[in-house]
Amino acid sequence: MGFKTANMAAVVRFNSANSSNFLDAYEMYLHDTVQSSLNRPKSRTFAPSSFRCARKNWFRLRGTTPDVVQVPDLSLQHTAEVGTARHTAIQSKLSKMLGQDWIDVETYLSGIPDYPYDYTIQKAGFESRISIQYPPIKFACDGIVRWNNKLYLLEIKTSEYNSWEELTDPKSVHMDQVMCYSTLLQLPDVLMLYEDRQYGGMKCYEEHFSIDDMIHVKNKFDYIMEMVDHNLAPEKLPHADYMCRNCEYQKKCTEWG
Amino acid sequence: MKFSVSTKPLISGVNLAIVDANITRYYPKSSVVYISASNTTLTIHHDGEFVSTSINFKGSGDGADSSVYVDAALFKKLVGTLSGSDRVVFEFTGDCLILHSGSSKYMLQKAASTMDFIPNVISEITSAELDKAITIDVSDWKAIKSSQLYVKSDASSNVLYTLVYVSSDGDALVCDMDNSLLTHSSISGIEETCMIQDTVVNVLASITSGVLVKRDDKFVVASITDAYECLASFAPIYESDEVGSYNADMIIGLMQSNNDTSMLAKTADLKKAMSQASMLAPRGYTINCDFTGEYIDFKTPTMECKIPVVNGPVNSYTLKFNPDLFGKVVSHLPSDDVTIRPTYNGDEIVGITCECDYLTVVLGACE
Repeated sequence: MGFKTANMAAVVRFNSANSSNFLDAYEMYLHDTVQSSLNRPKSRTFAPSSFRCARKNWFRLRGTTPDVVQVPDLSLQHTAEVGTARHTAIQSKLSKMLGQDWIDVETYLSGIPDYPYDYTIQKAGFESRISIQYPPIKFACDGIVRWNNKLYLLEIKTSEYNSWEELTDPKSVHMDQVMCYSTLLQLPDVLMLYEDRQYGGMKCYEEHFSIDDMIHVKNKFDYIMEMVDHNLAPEKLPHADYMCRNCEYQKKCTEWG
Repeated sequence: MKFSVSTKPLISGVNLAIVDANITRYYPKSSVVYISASNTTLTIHHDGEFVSTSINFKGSGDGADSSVYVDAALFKKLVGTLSGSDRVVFEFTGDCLILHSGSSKYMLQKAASTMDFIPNVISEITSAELDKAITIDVSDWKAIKSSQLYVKSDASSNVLYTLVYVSSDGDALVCDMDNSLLTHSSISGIEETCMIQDTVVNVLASITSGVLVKRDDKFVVASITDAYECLASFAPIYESDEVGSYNADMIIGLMQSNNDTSMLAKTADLKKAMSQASMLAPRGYTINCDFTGEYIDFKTPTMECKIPVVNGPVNSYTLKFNPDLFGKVVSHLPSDDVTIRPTYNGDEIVGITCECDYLTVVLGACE
């Protein structure tokens, strides 16, 4: 008969049968909730958060069912929920600090003469969820602020301490997403506020997008929609890009080369 | 008409749709492939003997619907080399098919003598059919192909034994009665007792994953991915007064185990001995095999080779075999070890039964 070393990390997670059962039940509930949301088809719209990857947006626009996920990564879900909570806290404080300079997104959009997109806005707390018909896209605007008499799009990002500490500029992987918002909201100036999720440290960077940047975004929308019409797979991100690791279309993407 | 399609799914799909082993000069239609395009779909259709395969790729076409027959092997080989660009454009002209890849283009001449050919294009699987579909375990069909199909004899005196017998219980039998070589596994997933041709096994073993549905008197195999839909259709053959019986019960009965007399040998040792025998034995000679408690002794006029065994029989027995057939059997065994036991007809030992993993093989001795 052989003996195995006890897995102490597992053993110290509970101290009774009831606490063990309770923990199991909750984790099972989390698992099922996350899994069912992952396996659900995505809405047939562009996703600005993954706008870097034309292929992923192509899958979404085609209504492709994501790969079946057997074991969902609960830590990713947790990180997203912490991020959302921190967004709300920051937005609440900023709106109080700025008063009238915290600009209502609906008022802002309705004030743009000849705004080219058909849109609807749904408010959720401090966030405005904007749906545009064409190009088909849904996104949440963290805020619009007036600072020193200039309008800025506010984009809040939270990150783990080590990554935050190394920041000297906005992360390049966030630029496509922000450029996308900037183009659709016609706000070329952006303040990107980075918060360290662990200790609450802050960094803020100003960005300005040019007309050429916005044309690039519009062209990318057109390119992806054209690829959808033609049933041809657009380019994918370079091999082993970090976004591919957690992509829900990994397997299907391989089929298309 | 020009039709654009993504390269990677095109290459994978063509490999599924055109199975090299099913291209034969004895069935002229198998040497060509029918390619047609509409505004949204490119269809590649190949008719092998007794099995048809259609694959539909999504893509984009401009112009009137077009079609052409080209050489199947050449087309498959060419498509396999087009990995340099992310899309391939099929240009249909009256006389040929031009494939554009990046800045390169390749011309395939329209196949001659296809006037009488009518492609049996397979219609799409309905959701009602899919609800009743059986999932195919492709690895099982690959195993049947690699370890049993070699037995099939095209020249058998009985046409039944040019076929693969499958049963609703999962049995798969491939037998060469003329040479007393019988193989059996229990891994066929067709939930019906019938017989199928080797071309069908070739198709089932080539797909990556798929389902099987019954459509009228045919089976349709569907392998559907995000990029393409590959369908293969074949008609099973049933035992009847007209075609006769495969005698599956009798064959499987012959293979029943009698562990008292079984021995365990290394497949590699047997392969080596058979290879040496084929090198040294004069043509036409049989190989004499003594199955003893400690070894199998292979003897020909020019060699004697003993290979060790475990649990050999208390009572030795001696049989003669055709060395080519014995060599074929051992070279197709799927595992490192094989259990060998005598096969009886009444009280008489008439051959040996080899068992390993999923496979049982009976090889009759020479008289």
